[in-house]
Amino acid sequence: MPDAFFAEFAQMLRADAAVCVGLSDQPDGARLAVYRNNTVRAAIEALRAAYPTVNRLTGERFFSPMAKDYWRVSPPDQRSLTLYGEHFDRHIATYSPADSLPYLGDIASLDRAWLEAHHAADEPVCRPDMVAALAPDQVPDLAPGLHASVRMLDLSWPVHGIWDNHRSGAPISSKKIAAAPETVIVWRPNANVISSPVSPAQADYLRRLGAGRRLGETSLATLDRFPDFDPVAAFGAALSAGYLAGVNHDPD
Amino acid sequence: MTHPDPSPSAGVSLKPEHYRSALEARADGLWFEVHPENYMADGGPRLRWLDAIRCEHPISLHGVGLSLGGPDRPDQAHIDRWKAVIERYQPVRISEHLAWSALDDVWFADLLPVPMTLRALDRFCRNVDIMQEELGTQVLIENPARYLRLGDECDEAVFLAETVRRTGCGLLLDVNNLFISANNLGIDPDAWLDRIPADAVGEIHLAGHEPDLELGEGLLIDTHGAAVSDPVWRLFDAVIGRFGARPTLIERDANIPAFETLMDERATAQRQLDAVCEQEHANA
Repeated sequence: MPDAFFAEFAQMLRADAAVCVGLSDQPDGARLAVYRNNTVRAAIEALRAAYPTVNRLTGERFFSPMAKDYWRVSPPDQRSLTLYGEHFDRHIATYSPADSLPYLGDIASLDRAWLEAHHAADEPVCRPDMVAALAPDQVPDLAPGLHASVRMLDLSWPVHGIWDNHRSGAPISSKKIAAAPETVIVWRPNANVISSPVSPAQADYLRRLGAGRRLGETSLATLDRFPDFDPVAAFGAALSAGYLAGVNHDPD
Repeated sequence: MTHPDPSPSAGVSLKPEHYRSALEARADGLWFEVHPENYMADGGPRLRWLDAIRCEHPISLHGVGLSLGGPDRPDQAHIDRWKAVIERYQPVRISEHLAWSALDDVWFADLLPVPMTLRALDRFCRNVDIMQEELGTQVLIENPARYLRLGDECDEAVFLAETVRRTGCGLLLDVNNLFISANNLGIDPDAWLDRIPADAVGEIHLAGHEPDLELGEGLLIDTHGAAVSDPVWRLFDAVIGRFGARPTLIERDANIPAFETLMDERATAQRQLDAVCEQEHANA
């Protein structure tokens, strides 16, 4: 059998009809359909598991064709489905049947951030006592960076509350909301993923730290943009929440 | 006091919903099997659960993503992730499939059929060689559940036996797959077993199947979503009666029942293994 077999079989898997042109002895469509159904179902179920809040809000019957539509344009490119669906939120935003739920893409972004935080590398967070052990003049030179699990999202709709409620199994409400920006931080300081809205100033501060900037220069830069910003309080909050990575301060 | 080698024992597929029960379970010889692909994340609770369970029970790794039966060489990035999982969990056995699952950077997340041709055999043996060399250990290769004939030039059992001969790999004999292929393609299970090198069989799988919604019993589907059926239990008995007892897994990936239900099936498998071992001792 020529190598074309693999390409033709793959094409059959991604088509709507169970016909494999390369097979000389054309098998029963139902037999080919077993493979096609397995492939599609694996992707749909992986997306359903990764986006439980989207699934809950839309219902399974709406979710399945939307997931299949995504799989058609973005099939898995890794040999594991654990983190499959990286761009599902963008796909939802352009999926016209979902137009009546304009914030669904933002809900998907939050589900995705939860998934990524859940599977992120385990590393210790920077604890208040680590900083307390340093001489005060060393602190402004620290560049702790953000913990590996931290994900920060700029949403177009203020849906963190809705998402958090549905994620924790609260009854579905059909509350109407108005579009407005909201920034959310999602992170896992230990076993459990946590999320919280953050102010624009806090978000600016954390993003600078995430880019590897030192505490001192970060405070000044954020103050420059947000004159009411309180860097001491923001640093204290970041430490107690566990947003920051461990401190490797070189005493020399 | 020294003990003889432990008798082959039965294990269970490990599912996230059963982590706590698995950690606390106590049964002689109990082991668990996972797909390494589910443990290739950077970190997180899933990996730590398996760390904890690994401290209590042996773990075997059953890969589904290397696409050994495909036209390409095994993906090096995926092999590297395999190495990390092996390093972390120190499995007692590792296995993969006579199947393909990827082409041109798309992964189909299914075990796709390999044409039983001489060319496919050469390529498959090359890929099994690469996997064994890279991972530094013998790999067990599982026979597929088949729904199609693909212009085959040789018999599946011969294909597997030749792979063993050329690569030194072992076999994972999936009794449910053999039953399904026999049903779907008219393969004679006895003739199939006659052609399999007994010593190469390093593990056995038992799982449930379901009839195709359209074609009914004429096309059985390897869903791993039901209890092991009576005819599969009988075929298992015939297999271990012929080859001897081997580590045996109760495999379940869909319609996951309570942990105790899987442990009950495991106990059934263990009783059959024990009976064969007793018979062997009596004959010795």
